[in-house]
Amino acid sequence: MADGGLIYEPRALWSIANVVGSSDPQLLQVDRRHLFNGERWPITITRVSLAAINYTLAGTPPPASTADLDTSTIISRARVSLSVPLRYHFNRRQPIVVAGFGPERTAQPPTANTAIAGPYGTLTYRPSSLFGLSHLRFDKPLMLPKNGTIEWGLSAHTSPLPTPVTTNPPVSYASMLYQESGGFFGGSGRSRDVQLFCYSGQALPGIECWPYSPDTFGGGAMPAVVSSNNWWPPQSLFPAGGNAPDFFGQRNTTFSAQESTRSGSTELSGMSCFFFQVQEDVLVSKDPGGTAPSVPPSELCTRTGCRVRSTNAGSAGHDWWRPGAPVCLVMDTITPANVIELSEPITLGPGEQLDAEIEVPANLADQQTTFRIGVSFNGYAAIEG
Amino acid sequence: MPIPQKGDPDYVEYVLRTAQGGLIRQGVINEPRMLFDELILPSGANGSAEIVNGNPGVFVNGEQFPLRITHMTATVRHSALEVLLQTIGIRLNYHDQWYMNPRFLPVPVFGNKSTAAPEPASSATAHWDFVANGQPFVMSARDTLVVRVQLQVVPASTGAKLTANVTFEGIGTMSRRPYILNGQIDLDDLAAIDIPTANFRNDGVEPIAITDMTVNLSGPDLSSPQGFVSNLRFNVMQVGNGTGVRWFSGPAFPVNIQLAQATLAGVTTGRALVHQFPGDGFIWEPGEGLTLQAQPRVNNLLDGGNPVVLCLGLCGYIMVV
Repeated sequence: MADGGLIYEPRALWSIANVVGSSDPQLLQVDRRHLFNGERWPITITRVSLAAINYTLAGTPPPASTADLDTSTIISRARVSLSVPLRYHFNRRQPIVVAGFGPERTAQPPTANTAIAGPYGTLTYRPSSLFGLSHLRFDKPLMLPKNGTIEWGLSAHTSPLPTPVTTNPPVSYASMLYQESGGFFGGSGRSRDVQLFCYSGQALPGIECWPYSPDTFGGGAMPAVVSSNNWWPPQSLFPAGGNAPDFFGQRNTTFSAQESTRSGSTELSGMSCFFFQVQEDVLVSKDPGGTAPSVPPSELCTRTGCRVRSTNAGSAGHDWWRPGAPVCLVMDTITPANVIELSEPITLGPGEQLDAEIEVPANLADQQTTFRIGVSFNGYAAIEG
Repeated sequence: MPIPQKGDPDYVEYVLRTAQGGLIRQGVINEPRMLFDELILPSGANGSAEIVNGNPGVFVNGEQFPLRITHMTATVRHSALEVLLQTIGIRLNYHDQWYMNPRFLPVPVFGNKSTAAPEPASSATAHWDFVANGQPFVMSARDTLVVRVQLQVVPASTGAKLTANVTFEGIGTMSRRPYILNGQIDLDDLAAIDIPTANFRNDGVEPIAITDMTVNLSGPDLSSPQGFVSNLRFNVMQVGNGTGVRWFSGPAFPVNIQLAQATLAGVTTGRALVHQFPGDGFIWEPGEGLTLQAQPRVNNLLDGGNPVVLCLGLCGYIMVV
């Protein structure tokens, strides 16, 4: 919404600490370059989200193996310190357990702890999530001019599937909805579905923060699989290039053709991303290696990176956040991440940055040797219109 | 103006002010309402190309007063796999105007409100906070509520009973004291039964502004204590100074469904997918409404050989002005 000549766009400063465990406790700093406001506009931080990245959602009690304990509950092991240099520290004296920050109510209802048998086959453990939903309600409405658009890209994800699957619709897909204000019903929405791909290369644990390293189910240990050796498959971008219809019969022009207010600007109030993962859950449970997991896989929103920018609008081509942010960290209204609402927003001027330190314990018998903790400072940029 | 939360210093005064005066319009009576429909999804080999229309007249304000719709809730009929909600696309139409989109959107993508309950209570409970999601209503002295409940599936074990528990919370309009009106009943067959109205009667000397409704279904006493509130259907009617009309209105043709699946009442907490309409929601004058259409996003959409049924509710309240 225009406000004294300002327009607003969502922003997030995020990073992932990808720590190889050792026999000693470790204290290290999250890459400060990732938490740096490198734009020429101030960024106001209103929330902090924290999550274990690319972990199994939950174990099955009693644990049948150590893998059953190597889950997203690892956020109860790692501890973090968050601060704004030269201004203040969130926690003054000692790091706080990631799960110990007071979370907002952002969770979906839990999945029922039962096996399912549906149109996609039999699943012998809990599905990854009930609704597969991530949602971000914008702090301030985003004005999209008539010819403006929002470009979204979703990364490939590290998850082994038994064989390439090219069904229609695809095994897993994402469905986006941009919710608009105004119009006949007081609200409308533009949508687009995109196909999702597994990464056919191998990402190694501990090497980099992104792409995310393999999850508990083996990553490279299973047959290298489906579809793409590109971390940003063009089919997972939209608006995508070309005018050929995709899996869903949509064309490049589909998004723009849904303009609800052709004559003027549109005010966006939020956006949702729904990951359809039911079929992938079933396929993973049939893995050809004979090591079908007894625990549910991580949600796709915790292992799919995203990049977003508005074109012909707002900051005109600037990414809203550093490309590759896990969806669960930056879409934080409905998310499996631990989200903290700041009682007072923090405004970072150009060139200012945040600090985050992470402390991980020595190798634990019940955990894997890698800790992957994601942290994201979320808010909005105020841009001169 | 932000709505005060429970515990805020001005919460009680806000509740009483809106209960007596109306939030949007100066109503004489404001009473919760839910219009609900149930659609059987095509399950054929080419099912994803078929469209199923909502039952006629369901999402229409059939009363003679304005209706304010604030939320949409969605789930699948009890005993189906809840995750199959992800395989259903819907669209809402009002005289060729689409909300949100003319495309069939997967139901979960409508979700914009987090309503998860703690896991031990999640599947058993549905909660509707009338204040946060609409506005409270007034139960005058000597008024009562008729709460009719019914199981969808009988307990598997012979002799087992499921306990349906319905609770209303409120605030005395003069004393400012809290009230809790609660009734429960054991169910072991498919009969629709009224919980004794004495449980819900306002026996005091002051009107009560009702703020919350909670529905719970326990598990059978022979196995898991946590039940599935989706197995319960219910409806409510105020007797006395209310409208005397059942709060929940479902399809009358081809099958008359009088009781709503309790999951749909989980506007605030529960297991339904909840979409909050923009701003103050829609205000429908008598005769206004919309049409629901649904489409499977996969062929052969069956759950253990049975078709999947989409349950969808539009929740809000009526304003007798």
